[in-house]
This record gives sequence, structure tokens and C-alpha cells, in this order.
Amino acid sequence: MDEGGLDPIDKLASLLSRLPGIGERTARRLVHHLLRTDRGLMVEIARALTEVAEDVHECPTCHTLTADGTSCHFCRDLRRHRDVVCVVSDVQDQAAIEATGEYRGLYHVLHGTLSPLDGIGPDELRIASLFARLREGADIEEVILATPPTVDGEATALFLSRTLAPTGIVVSRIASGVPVGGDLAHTDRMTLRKALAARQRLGHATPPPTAGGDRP
Amino acid sequence: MSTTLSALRAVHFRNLDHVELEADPGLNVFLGNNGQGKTNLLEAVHLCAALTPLRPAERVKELIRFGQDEAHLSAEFALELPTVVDVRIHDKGKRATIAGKPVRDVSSIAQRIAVVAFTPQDLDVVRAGPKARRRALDRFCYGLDPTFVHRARAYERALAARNRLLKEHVVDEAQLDAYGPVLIEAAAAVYESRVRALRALSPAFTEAAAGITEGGLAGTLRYRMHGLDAAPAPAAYAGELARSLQRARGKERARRTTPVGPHVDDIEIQMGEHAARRLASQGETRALVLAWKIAEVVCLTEARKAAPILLLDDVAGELDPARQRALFDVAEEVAAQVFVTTTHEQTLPAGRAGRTFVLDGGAVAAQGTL
Ligand SMILES: [Zn+2]
Repeated sequence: MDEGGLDPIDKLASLLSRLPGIGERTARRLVHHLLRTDRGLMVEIARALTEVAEDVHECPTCHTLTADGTSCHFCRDLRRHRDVVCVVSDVQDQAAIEATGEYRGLYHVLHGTLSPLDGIGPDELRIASLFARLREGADIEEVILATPPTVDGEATALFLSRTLAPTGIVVSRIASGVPVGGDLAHTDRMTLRKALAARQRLGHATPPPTAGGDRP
Repeated sequence: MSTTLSALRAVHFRNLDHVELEADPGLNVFLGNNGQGKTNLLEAVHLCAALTPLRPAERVKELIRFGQDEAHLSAEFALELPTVVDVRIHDKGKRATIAGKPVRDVSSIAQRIAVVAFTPQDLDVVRAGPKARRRALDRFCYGLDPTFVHRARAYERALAARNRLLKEHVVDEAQLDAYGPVLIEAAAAVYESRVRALRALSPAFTEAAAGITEGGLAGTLRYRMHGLDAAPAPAAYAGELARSLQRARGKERARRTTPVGPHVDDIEIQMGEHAARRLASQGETRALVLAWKIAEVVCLTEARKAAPILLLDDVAGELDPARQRALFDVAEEVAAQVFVTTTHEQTLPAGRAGRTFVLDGGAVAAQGTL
């Protein structure tokens, strides 16, 4: 869509309506609300948007989003346990796990899950860099798979656990208890804390040739 | 106690311009010639009560009155508290609220309201392929336990993902291996719900079939796992399916689609020793479908401690007065609210009390009592 020729109000409404969950009517209401009540807020939002757009980038190691130098504060924090990496699908899930206060290791953010229906395979996720990280970082002893308890999240965990099997690194999966089909970001802290604590070690000594029905 | 709809408003819905009605807690009859809107009104009741279309494979846009942007349905249900269900349909989809709150999870409506619908297409349950029976059983599973929808969707997603991978030019074995166990686990969950539902439905079906034919029809329901033609114990299903998938590997690669699983299983309707699909006469077909519906009403009432709302579309065209009476008797017994469409009041079994609404050109032209 080209917003070039529109008047500024129409242009802003049209841009806002591209956001998920915001229809044209809501976008228009937001614009008029801002105009009526608080123009200072608009300037602040504009400034914040520019900052985020210009400064936020993926951490080269764990791929979380950060505005800090190059590495994120998780990767730089020397008090965190460096022998365990928790793999999450996105930064919201990372925040949910961080909020439990239970986890003190490092993270790896995949930026999605496998999703053949959307054309997302391993190459579209930050999986190659996870392997590179595990190869290079000799001190990593455990990988906790905390992808969401959805069909695609489970398949991603299984894919990773089988691909990681030959490395000899301990691979564990957060325990169920998180509602099936739900997402971590909306799971309460207590449940997530228990799911982390009761994580189960996955073993795939010899990966079965096909759908073997041998979920641990 | 039963679930009832107390008031309904339909605006710009299909051919209905603006209809408002107060429903009888018992029987409601939508009268009118074909094309005047009586089935559309029944569909409006179904959409509010179930948030899904009455007729399968419906495109949302067809639900909006020609020339309008939006259809708006609103129904008040007498639950523990009077509860308003509001549905707005745009060309891109629909938005529903229950008691003013947006519906995030479709099963939240089925937690409160159960619906059993009977339309002429339901005869397919006996005479058509397995798909119609799976759909009928899955609807019943959903009525018994609304969370079934999550299991069904998880399975559909795993199946679709796996089939997509099988269609790739070069099949990614590692990804396929990852989706296999997920598919099997989801399949086993669907299967377990289906078997549990069938265990409740089957005896009620047998009883109803005998009841409406005065003992003339020995009807039974039996689950048949594809390729096994039997129903393994739920705990054994995952293993059976895994073996079945392994055996069908060659076929799977050739056809590029998952050949076994709950999406191809069947529920066999038997008359005595024989499969009804091949042998049932017109009359027997109707009796068996009727028995299935009656069994649903009985089981849902028992499981939910509240009768479902019964929607009957043109049953007079399919059921003779004696069989209609059997259906109405069951409804009365469990105190179910009934909505029925018909062209003539005389086609209904005599001696029922209720309200009539005459539909003409997309509007309620007259109201009366039976
Ligand atoms: Zn980092």
C-alpha cells in the first residue's frame, strides 16, 4: 500500500492498521485520541519507535533482542551459569522463563518454531548458530528445550533433541503442565517454575527411522 | 434444567433484514415457503448457540445480506444468569462476545450451551462415506467435552504439517521424523475421546433404534481403525498407528500424504450383522439417523445435566409423523428447547404447545401459538 498521497491523519491511521489486532476503525480512534488528549505522547512514541528501529538488534550469540552494544546483558552477565542453555521460540517466552526467577543459565532464541505450513524449516530459525555455539562453547553441558507446548513447538523440540543426540550434550524438555496448545508467555509463573524444575531428560540413543511412536 | 434461548435478533443476516423474536422455552416453529428465511433463522440460532455454521463448508461472506457490510446476531440465553451472545460477521470473518467479553476460545460457548441439529444432510451419516460419520461423532465428542476441539485441532495441524512435508520435492526426513511422534500423540488423544464418546452413544443408539421401530431394528455403532478394521484399546492405539504408518510407508511416499490415522477411521453403523451403509432402505436410513440424534440428546442431557437445544431443519420432509413424534417425545422428556422449520404447521405432530413464527421475504410476518 502507498500512503504517499494521503493526508497525515489518514496516513498514520493507515500505518497503524497494518499492526496485528488493529482494524481501520481502531486505528482511526487511536489517532484521534492522541490528537485530542496528548500531543506530547505522540512525539515520545515517535522518538521511541525510531530508537527501537535503529538500535535494537539480535544478540550475535543468543539472538535475543537487545539495544546494548553488541552482546546482550544475558550473555555478558558473568554471574549466570554458562553450562546450560535454554532454547526458546521467542523473546516473550524468554521473558516468561526469566520471570520465574528459577533459571540462571543462558538462552538461545530461535525466533519461531518449525512450521511447514508457513514454509518455516530449520534454515529459517536460529538453529545453525545454536549448533555452532554448542560446538565452540565447550562448557555447555545441558540444553533445555522450552519451545511452546503446541504441535509445532513439540516437533521443534523433538527435531532439536534428535539432531543434538550425537553431540552427547544432555538435552531436556520442560515438563508438561503447561496447558497443551497454550503458550509460555501466558502461563502463570508457578506452573512454569514447576515445568522447568521437573524438566525431563530426553534420550535418543538411536533415532528411530520413522514415526516410531516412542516419545519419552 | 435445560439451556434455552430466550430472545434472538438477526440483522442483515443472509436474507433476513431485521428479525427480532422472543422464543418459547419449549417448541418454536419457523413457518414459511422455501426461500422466505426460515432456515436462515434456524442458522442464526445455531451460530449464536455454537458459534459455528449449521451447514458445513460455509463461506462467511455468504452469511451477510447482499449489499450490506456486516451481519449482526444477538441472542439471549437463559443460563445460570441471562447471557447475551453477540456475533458480528464481516467479509473477513466473525467476531463474537459472550456476556460482553470477546471469545478467545471457541470451546467457551460449548461449555455453556449444547446444540443438537438435525438437517436433511444428516442422512449422509448413514449412506455417505466415513467423513460424515467422523464429523457427526466429533461434534458429539465436542458436546460431551468442549476441550475436544483443542485435541482435534492439534491433530489437524500435525497432519497438515506432515502432509506438507511429504509433498516437498525432496522430503526432509529429519523434520518428518520430528512430526511423526507429535502426530501419533495427537491422534491417540483424538482416538481416546472418540472411543469414550462412542461408549456413551452406542447403547443409547441401540435403544433408540429399537424404540422407534418397535424392536424392528437392531442398530449398533462400532469404531473401525483404518487398516485394522477394529477398535484397539486407547492405550494400544499409539502403537498400532505407529506400526500402521511404518507398514504404509511405501504408499505414503507414493501418494505424498499420511494414509492412516483418525482422519480416515470410520464408525460403522450396523443393522444386525450387516453394515447399514450398503443395506439400509430409505426408511431404515432415516430411522438410524433419527436414532443417532435421539441418542445424542439423551447422552448430552445426562452428561451435562442440562438438555441441549434441538434444531430441526425440515424434518417433516424426512420423517413421517410417528417418527417425528418419537423425536418430540424425547425432547419433551428431557425438557429440551426445540426450534423447527417447516412449510406447514400441519406436518408437525399434533397436540404440541409452542410458538409459531411465519417468515415471509426475510421478515417475521406473523406470530402465533400452537
Ligand atoms: Zn545474548
